[in-house]
Amino acid sequence: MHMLNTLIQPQWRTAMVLLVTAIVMTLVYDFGLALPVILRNTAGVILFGCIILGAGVSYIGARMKGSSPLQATKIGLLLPVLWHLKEIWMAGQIFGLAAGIYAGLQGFYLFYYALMFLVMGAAHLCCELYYLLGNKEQSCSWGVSGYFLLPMLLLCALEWLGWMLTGLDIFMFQGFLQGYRFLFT
Amino acid sequence: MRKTVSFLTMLSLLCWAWASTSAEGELTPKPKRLPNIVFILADDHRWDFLGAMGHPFVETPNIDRIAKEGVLFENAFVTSSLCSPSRASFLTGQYPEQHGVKNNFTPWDNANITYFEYLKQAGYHTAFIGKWHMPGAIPRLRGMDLFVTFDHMGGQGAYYNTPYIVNGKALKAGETPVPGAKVNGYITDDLTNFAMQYVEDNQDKPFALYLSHKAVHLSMQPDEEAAGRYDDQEIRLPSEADSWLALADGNFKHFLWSSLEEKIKDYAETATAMDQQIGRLMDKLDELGLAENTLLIYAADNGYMWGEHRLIDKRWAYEESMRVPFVVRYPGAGYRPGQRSSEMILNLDLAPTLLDVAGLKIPGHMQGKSVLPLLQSRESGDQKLPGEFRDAWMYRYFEDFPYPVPAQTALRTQRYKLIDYERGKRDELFDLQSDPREQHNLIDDPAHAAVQARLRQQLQLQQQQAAQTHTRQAPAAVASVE
Repeated sequence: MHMLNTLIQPQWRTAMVLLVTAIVMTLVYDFGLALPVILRNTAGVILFGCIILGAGVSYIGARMKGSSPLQATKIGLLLPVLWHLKEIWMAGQIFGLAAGIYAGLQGFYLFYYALMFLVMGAAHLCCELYYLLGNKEQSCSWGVSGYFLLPMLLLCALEWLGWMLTGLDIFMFQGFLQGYRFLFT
Repeated sequence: MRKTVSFLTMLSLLCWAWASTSAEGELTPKPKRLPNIVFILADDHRWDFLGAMGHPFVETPNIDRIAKEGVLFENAFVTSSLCSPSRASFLTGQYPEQHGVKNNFTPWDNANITYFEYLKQAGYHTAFIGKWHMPGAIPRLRGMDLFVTFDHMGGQGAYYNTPYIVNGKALKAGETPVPGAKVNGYITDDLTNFAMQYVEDNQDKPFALYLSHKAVHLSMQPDEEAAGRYDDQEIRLPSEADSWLALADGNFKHFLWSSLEEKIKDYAETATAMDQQIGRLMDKLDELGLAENTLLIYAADNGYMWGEHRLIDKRWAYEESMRVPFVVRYPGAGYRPGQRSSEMILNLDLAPTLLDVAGLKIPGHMQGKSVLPLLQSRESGDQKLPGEFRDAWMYRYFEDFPYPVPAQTALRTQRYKLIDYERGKRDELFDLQSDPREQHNLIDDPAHAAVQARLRQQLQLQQQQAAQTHTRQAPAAVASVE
């Protein structure tokens, strides 16, 4: 335990706990066929929670241990990035490495990252509020909050532009499939 | 007096001539008109979501009526559980290895010969109305008089406000492709309106209509009348599934942002909405006096898994995915109405059956079999033992990017199913008699080693036969869509 504490910096601890939880839940949900259904189902719910809310919880955990917003954002992205890599690896098992990587560029994943930034933005506001009410020194500017909106705004704008210019939902599916046809068939 | 006799003689002769003509007219049999053909195809409608199949709450009174007045095939399957390959097999009577549409990427080959070409040559007026959804540009199908479809949303169409394409000409949303038919915006209603108008316009000649619905595919949107109909129903999920299945892990990327139960209700309501429209078309056939001489078939391009094997999808070689409804009404066939057949029939069988019904020779390149002999079994005593029509058949799924489902080949017999995965999953063997839900994999069971060996041998043979090249036998010059 002491060694773990030495190895893992305090800012990363929440993210690491969530990561281990997600890994265990994945093992139970996907591979625990001999386990009772109720247990697997509960694992599914926790896993979904980790994937959707993990970035925000990790962000808060990092900020509480003194991380700057930028460092907390990096820490918050740990779980989403590893989950995304797992998805790419799974697709690569079936379609090969190159197509597997391309599968990882599906609009769904891009919007997932944008959503994670929104979740971290909400976590950031919670932290700011906490610091403000407690008159803590760690409080930085509220203005940083706006940056968390940028990825979603950018993606939506590009999607809209693509739709207008090509008639295809370039990120969401049809445009993505056109890209696959062009590159791989 | 002489004049009177001559007049009476002439009158008698005229009467005799009239009477004999009339008698002859009654005695001489009229040349029998070719039967009309109406084939209705649904998207993703699994075999047991029908009232006629004993579903606990789904109401499909009109499809049930087809079954009541016709024959219901309880063991109907598709040889590839994916929209495009399955649809191409319905049209050509061939396995994907032959028609070339292996997944949602491999394009439709314009050299493919559909059953429409043969029917057209035999004197039919032909129409395809609805979802084409095969890779590549929308073709100019040979042998097709009216081709109404859409390429909106990559060929998927939308439940509301889909713009149509008629014989290659793109229309604006709201514009009708069939003069006289209304467009109200909901796709199932619209396609039915077009089909009804087409039938009315062509009632004086034999016609072959292919009505291809978008329903009940994702996003599973019922019309206003059916929406909410099953809100109060209690859904019983398969024991291995749970409400969170649509959301857990990577499943939520399929945009099923609700519990599994809610999505199943949407699916059921969309099926009921479609059934109501099928009823309208059937009423139109009745109203025009065409029902008696019309072969009416309802089927689906593939099934759908709702939590079975913890999956929400088609593609897989499991029963819920590969098994489809297949109901036939053709009073001319002489069957016992309400008959049920447990013979295994396939989507490949549609094209040969239609040609058989039209009295045409079935070309050698078609790999299916006519099911007409099964329709002609009048009494239950005449029924052959299940399996005599077909004792085994091959299922094939080719990879379909980006869905992480391994390529698989399966052999389905009346009793067993062997699934051979290309990679990523252990092969499976199921005894469907003792394990209809395919829960106990017998692949490593020594007691089934001999069965497995025999099935593998059969599968290899079926693969060879499916891949065997046959020269396509094209009908002579056939009018093309202009």
